[in-house]
Amino acid sequence: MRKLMFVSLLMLSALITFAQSSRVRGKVTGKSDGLSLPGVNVVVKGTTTGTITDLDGNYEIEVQKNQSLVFSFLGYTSQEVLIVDQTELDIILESSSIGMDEVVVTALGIKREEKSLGYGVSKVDKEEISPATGGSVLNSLQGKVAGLDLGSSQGGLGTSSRVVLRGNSSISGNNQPLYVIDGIPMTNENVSEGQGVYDRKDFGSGALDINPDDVENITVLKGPNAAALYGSRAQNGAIIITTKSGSKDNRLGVEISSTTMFDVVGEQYLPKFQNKYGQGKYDNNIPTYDISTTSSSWGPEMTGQSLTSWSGFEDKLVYSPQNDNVKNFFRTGVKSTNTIALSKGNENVSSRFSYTNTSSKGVLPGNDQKKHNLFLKSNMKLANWLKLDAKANYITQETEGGTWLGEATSNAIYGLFMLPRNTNLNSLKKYNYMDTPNDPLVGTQMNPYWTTKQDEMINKKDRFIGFAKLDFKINEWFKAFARVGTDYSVNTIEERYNVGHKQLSTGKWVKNDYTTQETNMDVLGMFNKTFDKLSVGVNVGASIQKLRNSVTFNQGIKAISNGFWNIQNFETKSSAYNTYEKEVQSVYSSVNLGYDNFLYLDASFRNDWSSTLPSDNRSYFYPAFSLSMIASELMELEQIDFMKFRLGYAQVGNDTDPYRLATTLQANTLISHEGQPLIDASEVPGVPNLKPERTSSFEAGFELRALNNRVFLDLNYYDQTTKNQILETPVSMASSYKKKLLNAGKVKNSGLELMLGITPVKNEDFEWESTFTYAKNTTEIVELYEGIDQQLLSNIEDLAGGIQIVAEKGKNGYGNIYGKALKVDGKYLLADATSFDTGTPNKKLGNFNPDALLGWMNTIKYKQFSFKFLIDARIGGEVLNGTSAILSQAGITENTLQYRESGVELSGVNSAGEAITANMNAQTYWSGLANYGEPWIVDATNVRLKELSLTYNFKLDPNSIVKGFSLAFNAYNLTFLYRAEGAKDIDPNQSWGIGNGQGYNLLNVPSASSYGFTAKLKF
Amino acid sequence: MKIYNLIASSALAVTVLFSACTDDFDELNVNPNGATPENMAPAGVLASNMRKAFHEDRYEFWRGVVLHAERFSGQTAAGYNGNWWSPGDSYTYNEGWTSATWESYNTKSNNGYGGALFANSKLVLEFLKSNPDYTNAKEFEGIAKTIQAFQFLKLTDLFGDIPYSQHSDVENYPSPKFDKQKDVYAGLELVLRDVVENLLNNDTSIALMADSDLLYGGSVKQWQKFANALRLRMAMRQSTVDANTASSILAEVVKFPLPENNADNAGISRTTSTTDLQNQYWGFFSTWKGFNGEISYSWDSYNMTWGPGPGAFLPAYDIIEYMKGSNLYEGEVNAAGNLTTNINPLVGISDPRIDKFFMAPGGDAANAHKGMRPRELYVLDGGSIVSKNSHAVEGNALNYSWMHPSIWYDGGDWNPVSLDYAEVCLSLAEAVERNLVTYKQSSSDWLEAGLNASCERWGATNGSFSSDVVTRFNASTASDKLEILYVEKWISAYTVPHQAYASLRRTGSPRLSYLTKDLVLVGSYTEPDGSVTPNKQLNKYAKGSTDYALPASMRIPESEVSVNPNVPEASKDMSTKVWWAGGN
Repeated sequence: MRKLMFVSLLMLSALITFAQSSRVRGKVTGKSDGLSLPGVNVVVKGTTTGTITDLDGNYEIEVQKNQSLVFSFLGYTSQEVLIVDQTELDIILESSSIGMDEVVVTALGIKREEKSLGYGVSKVDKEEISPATGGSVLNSLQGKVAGLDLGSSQGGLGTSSRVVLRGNSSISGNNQPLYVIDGIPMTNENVSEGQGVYDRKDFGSGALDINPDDVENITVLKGPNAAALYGSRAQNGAIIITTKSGSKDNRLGVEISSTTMFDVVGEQYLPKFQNKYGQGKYDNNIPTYDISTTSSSWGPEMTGQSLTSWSGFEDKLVYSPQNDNVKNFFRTGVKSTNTIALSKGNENVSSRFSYTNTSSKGVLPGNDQKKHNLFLKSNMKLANWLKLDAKANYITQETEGGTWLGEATSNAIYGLFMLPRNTNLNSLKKYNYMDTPNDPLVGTQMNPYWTTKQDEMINKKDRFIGFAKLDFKINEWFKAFARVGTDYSVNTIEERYNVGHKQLSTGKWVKNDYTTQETNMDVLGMFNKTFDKLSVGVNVGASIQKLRNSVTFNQGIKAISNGFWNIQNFETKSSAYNTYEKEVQSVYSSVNLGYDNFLYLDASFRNDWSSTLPSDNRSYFYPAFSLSMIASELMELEQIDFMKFRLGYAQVGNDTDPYRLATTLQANTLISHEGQPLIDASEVPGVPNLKPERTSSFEAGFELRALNNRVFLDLNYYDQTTKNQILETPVSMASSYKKKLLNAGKVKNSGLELMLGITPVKNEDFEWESTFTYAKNTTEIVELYEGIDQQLLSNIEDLAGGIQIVAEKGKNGYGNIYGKALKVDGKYLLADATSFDTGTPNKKLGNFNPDALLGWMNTIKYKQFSFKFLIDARIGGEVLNGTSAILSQAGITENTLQYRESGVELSGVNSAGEAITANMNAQTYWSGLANYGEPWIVDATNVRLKELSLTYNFKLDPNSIVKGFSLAFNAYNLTFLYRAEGAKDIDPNQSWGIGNGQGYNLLNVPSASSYGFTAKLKF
Repeated sequence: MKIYNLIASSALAVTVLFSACTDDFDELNVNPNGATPENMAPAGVLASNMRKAFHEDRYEFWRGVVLHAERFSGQTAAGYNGNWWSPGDSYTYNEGWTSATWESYNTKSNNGYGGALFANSKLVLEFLKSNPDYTNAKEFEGIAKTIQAFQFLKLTDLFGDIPYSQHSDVENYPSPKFDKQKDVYAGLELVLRDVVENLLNNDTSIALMADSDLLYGGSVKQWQKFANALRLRMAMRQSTVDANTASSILAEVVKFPLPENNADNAGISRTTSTTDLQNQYWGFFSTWKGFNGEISYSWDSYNMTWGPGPGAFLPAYDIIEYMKGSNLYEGEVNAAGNLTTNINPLVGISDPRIDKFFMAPGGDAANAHKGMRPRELYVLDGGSIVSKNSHAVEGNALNYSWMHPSIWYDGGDWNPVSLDYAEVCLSLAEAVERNLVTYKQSSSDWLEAGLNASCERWGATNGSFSSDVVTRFNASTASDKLEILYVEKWISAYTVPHQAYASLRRTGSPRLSYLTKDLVLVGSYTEPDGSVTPNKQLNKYAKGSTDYALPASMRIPESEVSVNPNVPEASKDMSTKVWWAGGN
């Protein structure tokens, strides 16, 4: 990533050419070998005017008298030369000790030289973070950070993305990393309702709210080593986001950027439909047109017959194929993001203000999103010893439609995909408001036009993220800060089911208000002193974290008058209000020792007190240690610029949610009996003696830069174990509870992360950089709890004959997908001469985790052009293609053309083990098949052309008021270069929310390819 | 100076930050959203238990009652053209439905509507134990134990052996062992005897329960009668396999009050909100109106506009024919059966309740009632084997009787009843007839009282019906007498959850249940490839998971097996007989 930073500098300098004054030229060489240095930055100090040296190390630049030129190059000490009247100036650059003075933001917002870190971090800079990648900063990370597994969202605009770093370590808890913005943890709570396949909604997770245009960089601290100082919540790693600050430049800086992306649902993401047979069923083995009892497409061949119509608006319909009726339902999504940022500053004060407006139309009609983001960050020097930093970020957004998932009646995808193949979209557009039939669908699916217009899901969110921080600089060796930050959001989710809805025919209204607030207060004292060759840094700090959530729930059933959304308008009302509070207090200290710029030792210690744990176990301590050695400082190695070894060990403790220590009795929020409250014991019994979870981790890494920084390698091995997990484990129903809490389990994740960067070509006009990331993780469940080898993560009993996602003892046991085997001992199990016997045993069908993740990023620059593309790959892992199962059952997809004419004869055994054969028609066969899990499991391996962009940076006169102007064409999610057979009709990367029950695709909103333009203008 | 001040003040800040600190953590971690087990109000908790036990939530009612007990009882059928459930589903094990039943009856139901009966009971009983001075503590305990026993009975009657002695103890027994049904029965009898003889033996009224006692408004006497009636139910159920024990229990039972009329029935008024999807059969129908738009019908002063709906379930052939008083022959459905000897002991007597239980086809009183043969896959039509489902007459729901609209339609006045006075009378009729006990009057008097009570409850015009049955009864042989009692008990149990299925399994009556038979059809048949096989043999009925036989119990679902290694092998089979029906 440092490469990328460098590239960006290059890009900047390439923008600028000179107009007048004296011309200075010369050659830059390196001191150690005397060879010329290409690509050295030559900048007129205090300006943005600059150039870079060519292949032979030559440069030429215009500069005015008494200005200084600064020569800088990675791996070399910068030089500054005052220009009096020189016209020729050769420079010899001395290689800097490591060439790696780059600073990264680590835990608590502490900036550290990367070379001194004993753990692996990945940094992604602002150039890589763009609204073009789908509006979420998370999307910008995939393929660029080794080991980051990002599932694409699956429900249209505003649904959540699941991020996993270094594998799943918690069996039933949260496996999401901690998100930290400007040093302060933020909530990534995902508001979701419902769980099963019939009642699932996704409202997005908090991390989606961050505006990509405000991000300066993102550092990914992958393991607990890096994140130990954050405590509990960082046991899954941390994603540290730093926002942009105002410049110290005296003049008003104005940046305008505008991105418009068009989302297109292409054939590649859609089921492969058959276009030969229409609505009907096999009647005594004869395909027969039928609109009253089935909407499956098992009817006769479509040849333009005139047949009875389902529609109330016509008597007859033309029975002919509608090849594109699904594709044509989608519209081209448009997402436009416009940002204006103003910044100004001087030595003492600098500020940055930005406003971003995002307006999106999803590919599904009715799925729209509007978002406003106001951002203000200021930095003030109040005195020589006192500095004030403050930020206020207000986000308001409203999303409508599109987040019902799976077999929810209101999921338009369900109704759309299930349309008989002869359904003409135009006849669907006409529907009665209240009366059936509004569609040919026999079942709970609805006319997709009806549901996209009459059902509404409105998600409004107002969020404030802000902090104030006082920095004290007491003297050269002692600094301190005190900081308060808060993240407050109110999320209102309204579900409107209009009168006439198929299942909720009298109308229903749900309005839930989720208020969450997380406030963090911390103080930190920082001592830094160098004694001869020894540098010593000691940090001592303390923090308080307060969480407060509340949920107000309102539900009304049976509308008195239609289209009036207020609780008073409903006959049956229910409501509830619940609050949750939690506090964690911590003290911590870290000691950083550096010796002679080559050996660094870090130690950190933290103690937490959590309100969620019983008083005896409430306090928990954990240390972390790391060691970093810059080998290139010790020995002169030919062609090697930098070499580092690092080792780290860390422990992290974790608490739990509030109120889990005691059982409580609460009134049922959904029903009362004729007004009589019904009071029930809580779902999970309290456990008075819970203990904190423990994660310990070991990691070793190696970094190398060679061939004049043309090759860069970062290699990391880790091994981390989480034990004493606070598990919600299923128990016998006869215990009167479904699950109980306990401390158990031991999960080990180990793996390898690799990043390799090379610059095969680099000269003044042309540069090609290529970065390759690779990560492989192995999860081993060492133990669950006594006597139990398997824990259910998700039970999807209504899908494909019953699917279970489990965590199972053993290697790669996390996320195993179980379902019904198609055959027993290689033979079909048949009930009789005409049908399957679905009583086959369950078996392991696959696992949802990838074996390895790869990313390959390329940046090619030619003069003012910059071309970039990213290919990412996910190797291994399986996904259950539930969409295909459901559509095959209904005879909708291409595979079901098989056996239409003459049926199929299967030989197998009956339940008594006797050999029998069965003759089945296509409908019996395919709908039978849909009751097994095995036929629908597919390899999730895929290779994707994920991002592509072409940018043109205009050459500008340095004196013009326009300081920068670029135009870019972006494309995102372009195409699959490889997908396994059976997964060619889905996006195998889509996840189901951020929970642990992953591994299946069920009537997801199809992924879309995005294309568009970004214009950036800088004054 | 300044510097040292700063250091001092930051040190102070740290100290202040952490000195007070964790003292209030215990308080902070007390859930403000509910009551603790120490300060609960037992009345509200018991209200939830009553609703759970006696007014099952739609979710569990579908799965526990409608999809299993009622289809197994031989009283309802599904599987007509366009129905959600195919004929073959009836006896086929379905993990999802079975686990939902097991789960809902034991814990809070999955959709959050049905309460946490057993967990609640445990907390209430613990509360009462540590607060013996709580007003009416003894009576609360009696009511809590009665409901708990009722729920245990529901479970064991459906599933056979169940965890009992280690039930509801999540801390010590997350995987409780299974107890033999015989021991469960003995344990429940002990509990209920204590309830009847001690805890609820005060004729008083609980003021705290005036509103939250959804059954009897706080009347302890009525609870006592109900608890005692449960003992009667249990005694009769075990009387076939252990007449002596049954007899000795009955001798104790009759010393205490039993329900005396329909006002003592155990039931909760059906929620009046017509939009409440949790509303028993209503929720079942209303979830989806069905195909073909809507058709208007009227029956018994109900005017309806409705489609048959995939959820509409129809009466089975058996109950209709018995109530019509038809001649029935085994040979009709069983190739080996006799085609001349009638086996309906009530032949010629038409039961007036039929028009209250059912609506005649199409809502037209001119149409004779018709029930559907459950699990029927094929019919013969002009020598061809065709699928029943798609047969124009046999596959059409409109050609069959439906459940009476009072039970499921908007504004219906039917209420869920879990034990009625008719059952008490008919049980006593049997007990007296079999000389298990003597109590008040003769078996024929009890029979008449039972039929009168049932007709009264259903609002059916009795006419000469009760006396006709009694006359037939008095004129019958000993074994026919019992057959009459069993058939009447089975009929009277219509819509009483689980009871018809239990009665059928224990008594084997009505003897002719089409459900247990296997019949082969021979005819010409069109194969999937279009060819016609002239003399194809196909089974008329679906085989299910029990090889054509009536399921003898529900099996313990895989979901339980996966977390509880103590599930007995025999409990994993729907063919395993429960103890009181002659199993182990």
